[in-house]
Amino acid sequence: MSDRAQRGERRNVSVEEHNTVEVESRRGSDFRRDCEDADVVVVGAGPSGAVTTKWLVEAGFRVVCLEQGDWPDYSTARATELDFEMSMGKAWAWNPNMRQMPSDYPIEDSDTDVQALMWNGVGGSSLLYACAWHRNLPSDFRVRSLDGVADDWPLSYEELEPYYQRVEREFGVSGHDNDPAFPPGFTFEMPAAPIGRIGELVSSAHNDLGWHWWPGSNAIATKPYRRLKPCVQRAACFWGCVDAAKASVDRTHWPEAIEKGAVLVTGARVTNIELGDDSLVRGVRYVDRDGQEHLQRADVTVIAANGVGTPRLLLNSDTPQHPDGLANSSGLVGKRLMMHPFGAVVGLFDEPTYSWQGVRGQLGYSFEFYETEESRGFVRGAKWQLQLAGGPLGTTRAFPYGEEPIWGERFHDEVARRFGHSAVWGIIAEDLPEESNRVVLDPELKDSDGVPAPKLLYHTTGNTSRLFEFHTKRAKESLEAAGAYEVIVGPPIRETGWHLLGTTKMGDDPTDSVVNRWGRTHDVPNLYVFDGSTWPTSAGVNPTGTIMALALRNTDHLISERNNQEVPA
Amino acid sequence: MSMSAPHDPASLDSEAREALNRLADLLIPPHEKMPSASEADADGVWVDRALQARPDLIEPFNALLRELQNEPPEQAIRRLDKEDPERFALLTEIVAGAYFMNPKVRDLLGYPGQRAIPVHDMTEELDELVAPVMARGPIYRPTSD
Repeated sequence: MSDRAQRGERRNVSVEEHNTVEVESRRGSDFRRDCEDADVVVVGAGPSGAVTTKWLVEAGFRVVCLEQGDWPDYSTARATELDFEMSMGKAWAWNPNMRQMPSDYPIEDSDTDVQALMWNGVGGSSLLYACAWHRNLPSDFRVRSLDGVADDWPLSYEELEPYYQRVEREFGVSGHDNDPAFPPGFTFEMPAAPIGRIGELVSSAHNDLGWHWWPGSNAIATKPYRRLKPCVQRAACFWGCVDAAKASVDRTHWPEAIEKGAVLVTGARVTNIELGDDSLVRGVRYVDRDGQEHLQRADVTVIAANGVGTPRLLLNSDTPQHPDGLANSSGLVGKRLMMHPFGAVVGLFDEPTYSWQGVRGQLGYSFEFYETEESRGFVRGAKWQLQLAGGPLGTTRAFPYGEEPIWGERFHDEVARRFGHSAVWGIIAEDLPEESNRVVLDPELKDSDGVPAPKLLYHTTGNTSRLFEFHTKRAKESLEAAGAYEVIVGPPIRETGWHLLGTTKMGDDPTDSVVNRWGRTHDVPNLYVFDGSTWPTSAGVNPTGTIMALALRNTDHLISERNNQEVPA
Repeated sequence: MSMSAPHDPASLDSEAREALNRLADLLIPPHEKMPSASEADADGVWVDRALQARPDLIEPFNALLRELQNEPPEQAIRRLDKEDPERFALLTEIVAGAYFMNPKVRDLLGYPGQRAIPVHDMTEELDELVAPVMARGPIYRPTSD
C-alpha cells in the first residue's frame, strides 16, 4: 500500500487537480495518469462502490473505480414531457435486456421466475430504485436462531446500527422518527414526505384494525440537503429524477469522492480478476470502449458489481488452479440467488386519490405481518409499501390491474375507475436461499466484449407461494377497510428483480461461505466483495440501506486493518 | 372535433398506417365526452410522437400492422389478443400511449401531467396519526445479547 494509505493521511487536492481528475473520470479510455498502481481498485460505481471509494480516499488511499457504464444523462429523463409514460420502457428501462445500452451486458433469463433489473453506470441501481429506504430488522440477522431456517448473519443489527446512521446522514433520507418496528433511535435528518390522500385513508384503516403502519421512509430530500433539492412530488423517481431530489450516489457520493482524489474510470468493463503466483490478486483486467485491454494493478481489489455481476466476474476469473472460478472453494459462488419476489394489490376508490402524483418510493409501509407466525403455514414474511399507481397509460396495463379485457366498449369506464382513484400495496417477500437458485456463466451468450453472459436459474418455492397467498389476502382486507370498493390482486410478473442478493454468501466457515464478516474472500486475502451478493438471507425489505451500511462497515475495517493487510510483493 | 397538432415525420409506412386507422377505434371508441382514438388523432400525429419516444418499437409495430392489414379488423384484434398477448400488448401500449399524449384528452381526463408540487412538513399531523401505533409499543423481535 502507498505510504500515505499506511499512515492514514487524508488526501487534499487543489481545485485545479480536482478538475483534471473529474474530466478524466469522464473520459474512460484516455485514463492513464497516476493510477497504474492503486492501493485499491473498486469494480462498480453503484451504492456499495461509491461508499467504499469515498471513505477510502478520505482515509488517504489511492483508489481507482472501474465502471462499465457512463454518468447518467438526466437530459433524457422525460418526467415533464407528454411522452413520459410512453418513454419509460427504453432509455430508463430497468431491464438491461430491454435497455440494451452500450454499458449493458445480456442476461440469459429464459429459465427464471423473476428477471434481474439493474442500472449499469455511475450510480448503479440507485438510479432506478424507488427510493424506499429501510434498515433490516433485528430478526433478519437471526433467521436460523429465531425461525430455524437458512442462516444467521455473522453480525447483528446492533453492530450495523452505527453504520446505518452514518450512511443515512450522508445519503439524505427522509422519514418519521421512532417507528416501533425498530429498536429505539431510528430517526431522520429530514421530515417524511406527504403521505397523500392514499396515506390518510390507509393509515386510518390500519389504526382501526390495530395494524402497524408508518409514514414512508425514502431516500428523497424533503428540504435542501447537501447536493439534493427538495422533492416536488413528480413521481418520476424510477425514470430519472429531473429535480435532483432523489438520493442516488452519482449525486450524493461521487462528486465528493472525486473531489477528494478518487479516480473513476467510466466505460471500463472488467473482464477478470488477475491472480498472481502467490495466490494474491494483482488487480483486474478491463476493456475500454475502444476495445483496448488494460490491467489495473492494485494492492487490494473490491468487487461491488451486484448479485449478478459479482459472481459472473468471479466465475469468469477461473484459472487452472481455480477451475470453478476464483474464491470458490466452497462451491457457493453464484448460488443462493435471492431476488425478493414482488406482488401488488390495488384498491379502487370512489373518491379521488390522485394516484399519479406524490413521492414514488413509498407513501407509507407496514410491518404488521413481517415476522414468522407458525400458524400461517410459512416462515418469514414481507414488508408492504404503499404506493402510487401512475398515469393514465399505466391504468391500461395488465400489471397490476389484471388480465380482464378493457379494450373497446369498456375502455373509458375502466380508465375512469382506475386513473386517479387507485392505491397500491407493494409486497416485498423474503425469499429463502436455495442453492438451486443461482447465477452461472452461459455457455454461448456473450457481451459485446466477448465476456460470457450470466445465466439465471431462479424459481420460487412453496414457502413463497403460501406467503403471497396470505399476504395478498391481508392486503386486500387493508384496502377494503380503507374504503376500496374493489380490490385487484395483480398477476405475478417476472420483471421485478430489483434486489439481487446472496450469490457470495458471508459467513465464518470457509467451507460454507465465500466471504467473511468483513467482506474478505476466504480464499484470497486481498480480494473483497462489498455488495449485496454477500447477504446470507434476503430479509424482506428494500436492501440499499443495508448494502451501503455493510459497505461502510467493511471499508472501516479495511482501513483500520491496513497495516495487517496482505498485499502482493 | 379538431385535435390535431403539427405533423412530425412519419414513422409508419402507408400500409401500416392504413391498418392502424382501421384498428384504432375498435380499441378506443368514442364515449360520452371522450373522443375515439381517431378523433384524438392517436393514429396520426400522436402515434408519430409516441414512436419518437420509442424508436425501438417502430419496426416491430410496422411489421405487426402490415401483418394485420388484410384481416378484418375485429377478427385481427380478437385473434391477436387470444394468440399473441405480447404483440397485442405492443399494439395497445402504442395506441393508448399516443392517445394519452394528446393534451385535449389529458384535459378531459383531468390529468395535468407530472406537476411540481412542493412538499410540506407534516410532522405534527403524522405524530397524531401514528399515536395509536406508538401506543401499541414495540413490535420488533429483540436480538441483542
